[in-house]
Amino acid sequence: MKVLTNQFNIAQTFLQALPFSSLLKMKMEEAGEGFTVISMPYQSMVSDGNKDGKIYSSAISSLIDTCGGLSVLVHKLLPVDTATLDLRVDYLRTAFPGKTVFARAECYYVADSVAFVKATATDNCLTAPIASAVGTFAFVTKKSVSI
Amino acid sequence: MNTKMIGSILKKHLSKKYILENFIPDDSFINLLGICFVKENDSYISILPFKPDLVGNCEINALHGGVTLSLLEITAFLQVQMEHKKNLEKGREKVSFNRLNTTALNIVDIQVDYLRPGLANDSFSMAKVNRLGRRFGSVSVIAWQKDYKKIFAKATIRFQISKK
Repeated sequence: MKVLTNQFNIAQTFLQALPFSSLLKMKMEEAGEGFTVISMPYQSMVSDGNKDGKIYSSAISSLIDTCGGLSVLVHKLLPVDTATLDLRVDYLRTAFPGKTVFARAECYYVADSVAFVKATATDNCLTAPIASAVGTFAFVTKKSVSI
Repeated sequence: MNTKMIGSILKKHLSKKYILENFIPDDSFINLLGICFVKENDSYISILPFKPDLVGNCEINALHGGVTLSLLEITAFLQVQMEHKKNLEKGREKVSFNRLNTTALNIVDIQVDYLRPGLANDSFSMAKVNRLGRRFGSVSVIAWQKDYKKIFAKATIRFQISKK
């Protein structure tokens, strides 16, 4: 069940404004203080036979990157803008064909203008994640300051 | 590869006709992003033409972080695949798996540094294989826009070569 929170609205507005997210058909699932969950259908990643190996893993990283950015936007200081500084993604296994992929990101610490994020991507299997990631994001809380 | 050589390559592949003649991608995710490739002297250079669909920050019209990451990863993947094929051909008697289509490349992890915002220009990317052994490989990738010296993203990627 979706619980519509203030954070959910903020994150959804931001997600819908991103052209690349709509290209990959990302969808907002859940949001709260400092965390977000978004999903992406399998068709966005690749379809034709995957003969080139595991190239579609970069679609999963795109999902994680977006999710991490959104989780920074909904933490308690409510920043207006954010940018990825660095991101490290570990690919644990390949995704099951045909299943929707979910990413959950949590902004676990906020420093002066840097936010630290942990994220995981799973399909419906709860025990084994597809990928896990750690990232840092820069953010601004006031409109007048630009990055 | 030295700077002079890269300059001459860039001059050559900036003509769109040359790009289209050299490589037609057939993977759907690559097609979605619109990445083209140029193969020059055993190294790939990827070109990502700017599209409004790839924007991740509407205020300054910057590329989405995921697009940058995908560009770096795809470049590295192709470069490793090519060098791996070359290694196999060189030592065909030594390796037990001498057919390429039975070998799979896995990406273990990727670490990206976003150095500058990727602006609304065409982006280029090139990979350098640091080490490619029989089981693991390590690759550095850079991406730049107008100026080759001003890279806007940089990544280190580790590969695993698995026998199937």
